[in-house]
Amino acid sequence: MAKSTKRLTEQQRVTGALALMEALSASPDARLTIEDACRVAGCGDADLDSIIDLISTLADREGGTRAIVVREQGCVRSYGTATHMLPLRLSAAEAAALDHVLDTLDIDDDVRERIARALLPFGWREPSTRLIATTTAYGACYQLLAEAVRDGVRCRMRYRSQGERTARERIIDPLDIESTASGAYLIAWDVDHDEQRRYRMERIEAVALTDDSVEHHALRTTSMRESLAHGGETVTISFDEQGPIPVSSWAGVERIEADPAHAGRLLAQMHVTARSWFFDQVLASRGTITIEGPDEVRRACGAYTRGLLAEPRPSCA
Amino acid sequence: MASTERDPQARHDETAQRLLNLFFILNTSPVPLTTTQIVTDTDLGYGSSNRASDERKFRRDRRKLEEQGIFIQEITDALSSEIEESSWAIGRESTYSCGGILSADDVDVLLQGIDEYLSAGPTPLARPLHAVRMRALEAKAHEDGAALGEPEPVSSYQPQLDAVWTAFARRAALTMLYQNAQGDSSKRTVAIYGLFTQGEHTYITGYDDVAGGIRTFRVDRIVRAWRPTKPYTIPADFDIDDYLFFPFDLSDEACTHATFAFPAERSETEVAACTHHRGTLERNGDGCWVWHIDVRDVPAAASLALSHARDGMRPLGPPELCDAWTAALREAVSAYGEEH
Repeated sequence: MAKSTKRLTEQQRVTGALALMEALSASPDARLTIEDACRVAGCGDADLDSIIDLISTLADREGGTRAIVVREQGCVRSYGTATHMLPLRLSAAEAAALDHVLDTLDIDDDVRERIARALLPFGWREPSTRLIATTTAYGACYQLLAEAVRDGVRCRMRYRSQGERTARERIIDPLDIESTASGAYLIAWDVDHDEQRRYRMERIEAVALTDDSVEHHALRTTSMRESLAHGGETVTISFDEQGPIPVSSWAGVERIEADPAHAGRLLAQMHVTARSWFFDQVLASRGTITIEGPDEVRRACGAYTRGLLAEPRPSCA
Repeated sequence: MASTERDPQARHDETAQRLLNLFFILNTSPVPLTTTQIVTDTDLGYGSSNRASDERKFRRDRRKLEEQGIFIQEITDALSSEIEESSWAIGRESTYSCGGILSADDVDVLLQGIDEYLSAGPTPLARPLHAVRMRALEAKAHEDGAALGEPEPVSSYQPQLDAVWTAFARRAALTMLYQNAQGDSSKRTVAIYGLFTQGEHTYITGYDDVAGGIRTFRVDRIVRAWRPTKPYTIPADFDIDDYLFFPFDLSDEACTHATFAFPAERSETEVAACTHHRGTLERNGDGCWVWHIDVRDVPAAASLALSHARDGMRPLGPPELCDAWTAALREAVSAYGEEH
């Protein structure tokens, strides 16, 4: 058995022992694998024995009860009911973390209220200001879509594609929800187009479950990069080799190499599925990124830009 | 003469044992225990010749167990004034999760949501959310006798993320060795007021003793973290949304008040995905969204609007912001061909 090099603190030992007793109480056969026991107690294998030893010292001489927790046959097991305890409520910090997740996913108020009554610290109140945040947006339909994915229900969905002015309805068979650093996506089968599509969650305006079940479609697990390569056109861009690479977070970039014709410049090949997105990023770079080709894409960018220039300048109404 | 010095580790072990035994005895006892029963019990770890000292120790132990989420309550009833001694029991409502409230569907929603959130990438919330997950599974197991289920993968745990969470959860300042974007290292102590994930990175914001003010740090640039110690309080008006940043914040220029418009058809959720809840958002007379925000780098603010031009984001003012927008468009027209 591995030997611990650094002893657990008093607080770690108490926390670990309570968590272990709690998990053993919840386990139907009062046993946990060593791996699970370590995970629950928040310690390594070497420290697990010291926590088991600590629990084993617990006794009530007056009442005649004694805790019996042992390591046997690759498991940690408790005997009798002396260590039995109900699950504890969450700490304030755990509650804050959970509240942030429920908020981010826009979970239904009724479910949140029941979770609060069942698990959150007694008398816990949602803080008036936020201390935890994420820029990953799940929109307002996550819960319903998660349910549709879980139960295999066909949905009607109002979704606005990039560049479209308003949302339009589609019939979809939801397959999965994917969270990435750049955003959250619904992966679904577009019934009308008869192919798998990826939808940004915050652009989903409304979802309604239908009475129909989904038709079986094997989920094609492709990365964003593969997805762009599959359905996108290939364009070539260039930028200075000095300074940070302006396209480092773009999923569609395939290859970056030195521009043989221009010293100090780099060329990148990338896959683009939404030209409006691509043109916006080129414009936002304010000349840092140049479209090298194809010519048709360069001309389209020019036309897109002229369209923006031709708009009447908006004003505060 | 007996030595009065004791091994600190042995003292910690004794305290841990006493705390757990106190919980154990109260958890198994069918009736509340009196103060005398507790503070005179040598097996429990009290019972010294100094009762007042034992009562203080008992009070300290109750506070320590409270930090673990275990609340020992003084039982008061009609007889208590007559017997003139307090009795103690675990406050079940405040200590234990409440059964019979969460449905199996609720637990599924909770677990699925946590797993979804954690799948986005490494986060300091991995450890607390794992604890929440366990509690939800335990509550479900107590209700229907089901197995605890598949454990959550722990691959998302990272030492810096754990250190950040521990400091934030305990409200104890984190001393760290931090390497900035230029590669310069410094040892500083930060009272973490809030944390956020933006794109691929997680940041902490809090009072930094070196800068003498509130600063934001990227967690993956923490080279080393020491065990957090010094307690602090988060100001009541602190809101992490104010610290989510845009490229237009990264300048020493004075702030300029800028306004942007979004089409009326956009949902608030969609607009908020662009604005990150910064500044103020309102609808004007035409129903269009107007976003008010202070910016330090006006051309960078124009760039932000350009990066969302397809979504209908437009600069409204001040004039230099609109000029920067127009200049960028003219430059692009010049580069990609005038109309023939």
